[in-house]
Amino acid sequence: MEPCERNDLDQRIRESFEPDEEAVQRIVGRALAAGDRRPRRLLAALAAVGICAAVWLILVRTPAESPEVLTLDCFGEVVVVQAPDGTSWVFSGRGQDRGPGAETGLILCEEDTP
Amino acid sequence: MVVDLESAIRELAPKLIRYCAARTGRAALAEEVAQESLSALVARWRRRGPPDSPEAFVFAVAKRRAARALLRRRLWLPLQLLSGRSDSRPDPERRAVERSERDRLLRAIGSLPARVREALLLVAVAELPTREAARVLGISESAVKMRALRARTRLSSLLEAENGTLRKERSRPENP
Repeated sequence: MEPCERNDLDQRIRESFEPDEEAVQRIVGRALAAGDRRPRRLLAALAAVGICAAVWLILVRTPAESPEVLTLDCFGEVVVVQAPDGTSWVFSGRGQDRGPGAETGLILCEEDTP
Repeated sequence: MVVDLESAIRELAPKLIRYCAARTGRAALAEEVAQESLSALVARWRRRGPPDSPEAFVFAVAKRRAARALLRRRLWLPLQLLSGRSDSRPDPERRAVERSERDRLLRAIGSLPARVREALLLVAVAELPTREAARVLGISESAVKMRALRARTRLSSLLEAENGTLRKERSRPENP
Protein backbone atom coordinates (compact mmCIF):
# COMPACT_ATOMS: atom_id res chain seq x y z
CA MET A 1 0.00 0.00 0.00
CA GLU A 2 1.37 3.39 -1.06
CA PRO A 3 1.88 6.09 1.62
CA CYS A 4 -0.66 8.41 -0.01
CA GLU A 5 -3.26 5.63 -0.11
CA ARG A 6 -2.49 4.89 3.51
CA ASN A 7 -2.94 8.54 4.49
CA ASP A 8 -6.19 8.75 2.56
CA LEU A 9 -7.58 5.70 4.29
CA ASP A 10 -6.51 6.96 7.73
CA GLN A 11 -8.06 10.34 7.02
CA ARG A 12 -11.25 8.73 5.82
CA ILE A 13 -11.56 6.64 8.99
CA ARG A 14 -10.82 9.62 11.24
CA GLU A 15 -13.41 11.79 9.54
CA SER A 16 -16.03 9.08 9.92
CA PHE A 17 -15.55 8.91 13.66
CA GLU A 18 -14.88 12.59 14.32
CA PRO A 19 -16.85 13.64 17.43
CA ASP A 20 -18.71 16.92 17.50
CA GLU A 21 -17.29 19.75 19.57
CA GLU A 22 -20.19 19.63 22.00
CA ALA A 23 -19.48 16.00 22.89
CA VAL A 24 -15.79 16.77 23.40
CA GLN A 25 -16.57 19.69 25.74
CA ARG A 26 -19.07 17.60 27.67
CA ILE A 27 -16.64 14.77 28.21
CA VAL A 28 -13.76 17.05 29.15
CA GLY A 29 -15.94 18.84 31.70
CA ARG A 30 -17.25 15.62 33.21
CA ALA A 31 -13.83 14.01 33.36
CA LEU A 32 -12.33 16.99 35.19
CA ALA A 33 -15.30 17.15 37.56
CA ALA A 34 -15.17 13.41 38.23
CA GLY A 35 -11.48 13.74 39.04
CA ASP A 36 -12.43 16.37 41.62
CA ARG A 37 -15.08 14.20 43.17
CA ARG A 38 -12.85 11.24 43.78
CA PRO A 39 -10.78 12.73 46.65
CA ARG A 40 -14.03 13.89 48.27
CA ARG A 41 -15.34 10.35 48.12
CA LEU A 42 -12.13 9.14 49.70
CA LEU A 43 -12.42 11.74 52.45
CA ALA A 44 -16.04 10.76 53.08
CA ALA A 45 -15.03 7.11 53.33
CA LEU A 46 -12.21 7.97 55.72
CA ALA A 47 -14.57 10.07 57.84
CA ALA A 48 -17.06 7.18 57.99
CA VAL A 49 -14.30 4.79 59.07
CA GLY A 50 -13.19 7.30 61.73
CA ILE A 51 -16.72 7.63 63.10
CA CYS A 52 -17.12 3.84 63.23
CA ALA A 53 -13.78 3.51 65.04
CA ALA A 54 -14.79 6.18 67.56
CA VAL A 55 -18.15 4.50 68.21
CA TRP A 56 -16.45 1.14 68.64
CA LEU A 57 -13.94 2.61 71.09
CA ILE A 58 -16.66 4.30 73.09
CA LEU A 59 -19.14 1.44 73.20
CA VAL A 60 -16.96 -1.66 73.17
CA ARG A 61 -13.51 -0.84 74.42
CA THR A 62 -14.38 1.50 77.31
CA PRO A 63 -15.49 -0.62 80.26
CA ALA A 64 -18.69 0.30 81.99
CA GLU A 65 -18.11 2.74 84.84
CA SER A 66 -17.04 0.74 87.84
CA PRO A 67 -19.43 0.85 90.76
CA GLU A 68 -18.37 2.90 93.73
CA VAL A 69 -16.61 0.73 96.27
CA LEU A 70 -15.22 1.01 99.74
CA THR A 71 -11.51 1.72 100.01
CA LEU A 72 -9.40 -0.20 102.42
CA ASP A 73 -6.15 1.08 103.94
CA CYS A 74 -4.01 -0.90 106.35
CA PHE A 75 -1.71 0.75 108.87
CA GLY A 76 -0.14 -2.10 110.84
CA GLU A 77 -3.00 -3.59 112.78
CA VAL A 78 -5.27 -0.70 112.02
CA VAL A 79 -7.55 -0.86 109.04
CA VAL A 80 -9.31 2.19 107.72
CA VAL A 81 -12.36 1.61 105.56
CA GLN A 82 -13.69 4.57 103.63
CA ALA A 83 -17.03 4.77 101.88
CA PRO A 84 -17.51 6.89 98.72
CA ASP A 85 -19.77 9.24 100.67
CA GLY A 86 -16.87 10.10 102.96
CA THR A 87 -17.81 7.97 105.97
CA SER A 88 -14.90 6.01 107.34
CA TRP A 89 -14.45 3.30 109.87
CA VAL A 90 -11.28 2.46 111.73
CA PHE A 91 -10.82 -1.15 112.82
CA SER A 92 -8.18 -2.53 115.08
CA GLY A 93 -7.50 -6.13 116.06
CA ARG A 94 -5.24 -5.09 118.97
CA GLY A 95 -6.12 -6.72 122.25
CA GLN A 96 -8.38 -9.26 120.60
CA ASP A 97 -7.97 -12.98 120.42
CA ARG A 98 -5.96 -13.81 117.24
CA GLY A 99 -6.92 -17.47 116.99
CA PRO A 100 -9.04 -19.09 114.35
CA GLY A 101 -12.65 -18.05 114.60
CA ALA A 102 -11.71 -14.95 116.54
CA GLU A 103 -13.67 -11.81 115.95
CA THR A 104 -12.18 -9.76 113.25
CA GLY A 105 -11.90 -6.46 114.94
CA LEU A 106 -13.27 -3.58 116.79
CA ILE A 107 -14.60 -0.34 115.48
CA LEU A 108 -12.50 2.29 117.12
CA CYS A 109 -14.20 5.25 115.64
CA GLU A 110 -16.57 6.29 112.90
CA GLU A 111 -16.38 9.71 111.38
CA ASP A 112 -17.53 11.70 108.41
CA THR A 113 -14.73 13.36 106.52
CA PRO A 114 -15.54 16.16 104.06
CA MET B 1 5.03 17.68 25.36
CA VAL B 2 1.96 17.97 27.54
CA VAL B 3 2.36 20.38 30.42
CA ASP B 4 -0.81 20.66 32.43
CA LEU B 5 -3.71 18.36 33.08
CA GLU B 6 -6.46 20.34 31.43
CA SER B 7 -4.50 20.81 28.20
CA ALA B 8 -3.72 17.10 28.18
CA ILE B 9 -7.38 16.21 28.63
CA ARG B 10 -8.47 18.63 25.91
CA GLU B 11 -5.87 17.28 23.53
CA LEU B 12 -6.66 13.64 24.22
CA ALA B 13 -10.46 13.80 24.33
CA PRO B 14 -11.25 13.95 20.56
CA LYS B 15 -8.74 11.19 19.78
CA LEU B 16 -10.09 9.05 22.56
CA ILE B 17 -13.72 9.50 21.51
CA ARG B 18 -12.79 8.60 17.92
CA TYR B 19 -10.99 5.51 19.11
CA CYS B 20 -13.87 4.44 21.36
CA ALA B 21 -16.45 5.09 18.64
CA ALA B 22 -14.55 2.92 16.18
CA ARG B 23 -13.94 0.31 18.87
CA THR B 24 -17.50 0.04 20.23
CA GLY B 25 -19.51 1.20 17.22
CA ARG B 26 -21.93 3.08 19.48
CA ALA B 27 -21.75 6.78 20.18
CA ALA B 28 -23.23 6.67 23.69
CA LEU B 29 -21.04 3.77 24.77
CA ALA B 30 -18.00 5.44 23.21
CA GLU B 31 -18.62 8.63 25.17
CA GLU B 32 -19.08 6.67 28.38
CA VAL B 33 -15.84 4.73 27.93
CA ALA B 34 -13.92 7.84 26.88
CA GLN B 35 -15.14 9.76 29.89
CA GLU B 36 -14.30 6.97 32.32
CA SER B 37 -10.81 6.68 30.85
CA LEU B 38 -10.19 10.41 31.06
CA SER B 39 -11.50 10.44 34.64
CA ALA B 40 -9.01 7.68 35.48
CA LEU B 41 -6.22 9.83 34.03
CA VAL B 42 -7.41 12.89 35.99
CA ALA B 43 -7.50 10.91 39.23
CA ARG B 44 -4.05 9.40 38.60
CA TRP B 45 -2.58 12.79 37.68
CA ARG B 46 -3.96 14.48 40.81
CA ARG B 47 -2.91 11.71 43.15
CA ARG B 48 0.54 10.84 41.89
CA GLY B 49 1.39 13.34 39.19
CA PRO B 50 1.36 12.78 35.41
CA PRO B 51 2.14 9.28 34.16
CA ASP B 52 5.20 8.77 31.95
CA SER B 53 2.97 8.86 28.91
CA PRO B 54 -0.55 10.20 29.46
CA GLU B 55 -1.50 8.97 25.97
CA ALA B 56 -0.37 5.42 26.62
CA PHE B 57 -2.03 5.47 30.06
CA VAL B 58 -5.41 6.69 28.88
CA PHE B 59 -5.55 4.48 25.78
CA ALA B 60 -4.57 1.41 27.78
CA VAL B 61 -7.48 2.15 30.14
CA ALA B 62 -9.83 2.82 27.22
CA LYS B 63 -8.84 -0.39 25.44
CA ARG B 64 -9.58 -2.44 28.56
CA ARG B 65 -12.82 -0.65 29.38
CA ALA B 66 -14.13 -0.79 25.83
CA ALA B 67 -13.56 -4.55 25.75
CA ARG B 68 -15.32 -4.89 29.10
CA ALA B 69 -18.24 -2.71 27.99
CA LEU B 70 -18.70 -4.74 24.81
CA LEU B 71 -18.60 -7.98 26.73
CA ARG B 72 -21.12 -6.66 29.23
CA ARG B 73 -23.37 -5.56 26.39
CA ARG B 74 -23.09 -8.95 24.73
CA LEU B 75 -24.02 -10.67 28.00
CA TRP B 76 -26.98 -8.38 28.73
CA LEU B 77 -28.38 -8.32 25.22
CA PRO B 78 -30.24 -11.66 25.45
CA LEU B 79 -31.87 -10.56 28.71
CA GLN B 80 -32.88 -7.22 27.22
CA LEU B 81 -34.35 -9.02 24.22
CA LEU B 82 -36.30 -11.30 26.52
CA SER B 83 -37.63 -8.42 28.57
CA GLY B 84 -38.55 -6.56 25.38
CA ARG B 85 -36.30 -3.63 26.21
CA SER B 86 -34.24 -4.05 23.08
CA ASP B 87 -35.17 -4.91 19.56
CA SER B 88 -32.61 -6.78 17.51
CA ARG B 89 -34.04 -5.44 14.26
CA PRO B 90 -32.67 -2.07 13.20
CA ASP B 91 -35.20 0.75 13.32
CA PRO B 92 -36.23 2.46 10.07
CA GLU B 93 -33.84 5.35 10.57
CA ARG B 94 -31.00 2.97 11.23
CA ARG B 95 -31.84 0.95 8.17
CA ALA B 96 -31.85 4.16 6.14
CA VAL B 97 -28.35 5.10 7.20
CA GLU B 98 -27.07 1.57 7.30
CA ARG B 99 -25.10 2.00 4.17
CA SER B 100 -23.47 5.21 5.29
CA GLU B 101 -19.73 5.57 5.20
CA ARG B 102 -19.42 5.22 8.95
CA ASP B 103 -21.39 2.00 9.11
CA ARG B 104 -19.54 0.49 6.20
CA LEU B 105 -16.27 1.33 7.89
CA LEU B 106 -17.51 -0.08 11.18
CA ARG B 107 -18.48 -3.34 9.56
CA ALA B 108 -15.16 -3.58 7.78
CA ILE B 109 -13.17 -2.71 10.91
CA GLY B 110 -15.24 -5.18 12.91
CA SER B 111 -14.36 -7.97 10.55
CA LEU B 112 -10.62 -7.42 10.98
CA PRO B 113 -8.74 -9.80 13.28
CA ALA B 114 -8.57 -8.27 16.79
CA ARG B 115 -4.78 -7.92 16.85
CA VAL B 116 -4.45 -5.94 13.66
CA ARG B 117 -7.63 -3.99 14.35
CA GLU B 118 -6.27 -2.66 17.66
CA ALA B 119 -3.07 -1.48 15.97
CA LEU B 120 -5.05 0.27 13.25
CA LEU B 121 -7.38 1.98 15.70
CA LEU B 122 -4.54 3.26 17.85
CA VAL B 123 -2.34 4.42 15.00
CA ALA B 124 -4.85 5.58 12.39
CA VAL B 125 -7.91 6.58 14.37
CA ALA B 126 -6.38 7.80 17.63
CA GLU B 127 -3.23 9.10 15.88
CA LEU B 128 -0.95 7.70 18.57
CA PRO B 129 2.74 7.69 17.73
CA THR B 130 3.97 4.17 17.02
CA ARG B 131 5.98 4.22 20.23
CA GLU B 132 2.91 4.93 22.37
CA ALA B 133 0.78 2.41 20.49
CA ALA B 134 3.49 -0.16 21.15
CA ARG B 135 3.33 0.64 24.87
CA VAL B 136 -0.45 0.27 24.93
CA LEU B 137 -0.36 -3.06 23.12
CA GLY B 138 2.75 -4.34 24.85
CA ILE B 139 4.52 -5.17 21.61
CA SER B 140 7.48 -3.75 19.67
CA GLU B 141 7.20 -0.70 17.43
CA SER B 142 7.98 -2.74 14.33
CA ALA B 143 5.18 -5.16 15.25
CA VAL B 144 2.77 -2.23 15.54
CA LYS B 145 3.79 -0.97 12.09
CA MET B 146 3.40 -4.42 10.62
CA ARG B 147 -0.03 -4.97 12.15
CA ALA B 148 -1.27 -1.53 11.11
CA LEU B 149 -0.08 -2.14 7.56
CA ARG B 150 -1.83 -5.50 7.42
CA ALA B 151 -4.99 -3.93 8.80
CA ARG B 152 -4.96 -1.14 6.21
CA THR B 153 -4.41 -3.57 3.35
CA ARG B 154 -7.21 -5.83 4.57
CA LEU B 155 -9.53 -2.92 5.20
CA SER B 156 -8.94 -1.48 1.74
CA SER B 157 -9.77 -4.76 0.08
CA LEU B 158 -12.89 -5.20 2.25
CA LEU B 159 -14.12 -1.72 1.38
CA GLU B 160 -13.33 -2.30 -2.29
CA ALA B 161 -15.29 -5.53 -2.25
CA GLU B 162 -18.23 -3.79 -0.60
CA ASN B 163 -18.11 -0.96 -3.12
CA GLY B 164 -18.18 -3.53 -5.91
CA THR B 165 -21.24 -5.19 -4.36
CA LEU B 166 -22.98 -1.82 -4.01
CA ARG B 167 -22.23 -0.92 -7.62
CA LYS B 168 -23.66 -4.25 -8.75
CA GLU B 169 -26.82 -3.74 -6.66
CA ARG B 170 -27.34 -0.24 -8.04
CA SER B 171 -26.83 -1.30 -11.65
CA ARG B 172 -29.33 -4.18 -11.28
CA PRO B 173 -32.77 -3.31 -12.73
CA GLU B 174 -35.48 -2.77 -10.08
CA ASN B 175 -38.13 -4.96 -11.80
CA PRO B 176 -36.53 -7.72 -13.79
